[in-house]
Amino acid sequence: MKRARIIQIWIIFAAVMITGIALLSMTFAGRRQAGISGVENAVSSAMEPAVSASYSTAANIREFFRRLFSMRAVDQEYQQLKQRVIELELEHQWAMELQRENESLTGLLGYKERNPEYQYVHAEIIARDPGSWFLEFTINRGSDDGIATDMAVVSKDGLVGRIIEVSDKTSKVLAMIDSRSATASVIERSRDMGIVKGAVSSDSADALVHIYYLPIDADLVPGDKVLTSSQGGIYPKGILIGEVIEVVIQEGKDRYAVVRPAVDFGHLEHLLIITGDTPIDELTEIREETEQQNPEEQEAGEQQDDGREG
Amino acid sequence: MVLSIIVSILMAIAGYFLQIAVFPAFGAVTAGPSMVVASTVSIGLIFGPAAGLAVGFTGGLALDLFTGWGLGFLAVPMGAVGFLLGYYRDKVNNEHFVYAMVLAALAHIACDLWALLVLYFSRMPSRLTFSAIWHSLLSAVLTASSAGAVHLITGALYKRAMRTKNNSLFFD
Repeated sequence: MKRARIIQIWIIFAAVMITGIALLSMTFAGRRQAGISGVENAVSSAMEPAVSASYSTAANIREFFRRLFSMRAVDQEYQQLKQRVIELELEHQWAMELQRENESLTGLLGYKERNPEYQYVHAEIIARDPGSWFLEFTINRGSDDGIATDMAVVSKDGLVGRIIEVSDKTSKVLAMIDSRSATASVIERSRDMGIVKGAVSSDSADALVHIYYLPIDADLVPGDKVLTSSQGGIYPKGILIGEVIEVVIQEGKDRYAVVRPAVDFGHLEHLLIITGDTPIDELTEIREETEQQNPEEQEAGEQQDDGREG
Repeated sequence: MVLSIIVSILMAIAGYFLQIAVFPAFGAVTAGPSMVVASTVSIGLIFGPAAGLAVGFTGGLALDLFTGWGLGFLAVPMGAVGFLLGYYRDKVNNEHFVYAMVLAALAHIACDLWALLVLYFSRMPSRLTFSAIWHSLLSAVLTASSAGAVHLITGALYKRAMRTKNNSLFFD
């Protein structure tokens, strides 16, 4: 390298260094006085577009790489959240199931409290025939639990049917809507007697029953409540069967009424089997306790009972 | 000369954006490599003092503007490093990447010492703590590793460009 060239390079280097040190000195001196130096301010202003572009580009590149490297973590988090969603869905389903069961059992408990004159055994349905309706089904209680044939089966809404077969651990129930079933009944308002006969088969579109053998002058209108009358010797008196929705008068034939059952025979789960009457002293005790707890409700209940017995 | 400028500028820009944009994306890494130092060292060794000075000074100035340490804070030591390594490149095996790695680590430490001196003499708050020393050494090691890779890439680009130059009218 020629000497002149060497000198030229060193002069350039010295000039650049002196410029840099001067810039640095002015920057720090200005900062001590006013927070930001005039030189720094001037250079920053002049370089602002370049710095902004640089900063913006840097921010974009940084964001791109941040996303790129965080993809694995995001994916891991996504998998965990997906798993959590599945767990929560299962928990939710379980909670909903418990809530439904709770509602069902609460309903049965309410029924027992409203009708303390009978003794009950709680049962769950464990098998049923295929079809839309619960016509004949198996429950998880048998002779070991004190169940016998022809015992009445009720749900929280009213009459379900009767026991037709009993084994040690299970029993079969025939629903009162089944065409093989007949139930002695009474119209709550007019006290007219009749026989409720099942009219439902497994492929029926609607679970309706009919009341036959009504008196010629029977007074019944849609909306009348139909109760068991105990005259058949199977069902205790006063259990709600359903509500009259239509009275059919056929020329030359007996009239009959169409009744919609109080029980939803498409969705049955928990049932009560009436195993007998509550002993009179126990019943009196229960009624006294209930009266003390809620006198108004008890009074209303008694009025309702009076109305049924009519 | 044109070739030196193009390759230098491309390497310096790539190093600059790697340092200010890509490495900070690794959120967990507190000490990162100084890609501008690595580029300066590599370019100084391959292209000579003028390119080393230009890349070191402008790269340092760009970092000063970006980081807000003050104009010249990094530009001066990086310019000096680029120039001196370029000037004395004949004294070492300038094509071997191990030299570039060692020199980059030393250059990084020199820049940190310069920063410490500047802060001390300008009576700006600075503390020489164990954590700061550890941070500096770790960054120097990372810078050395990066410098090895940068030197290999720069050298390869330079050789390829030289071959193209010998077979092309563009460079004549």
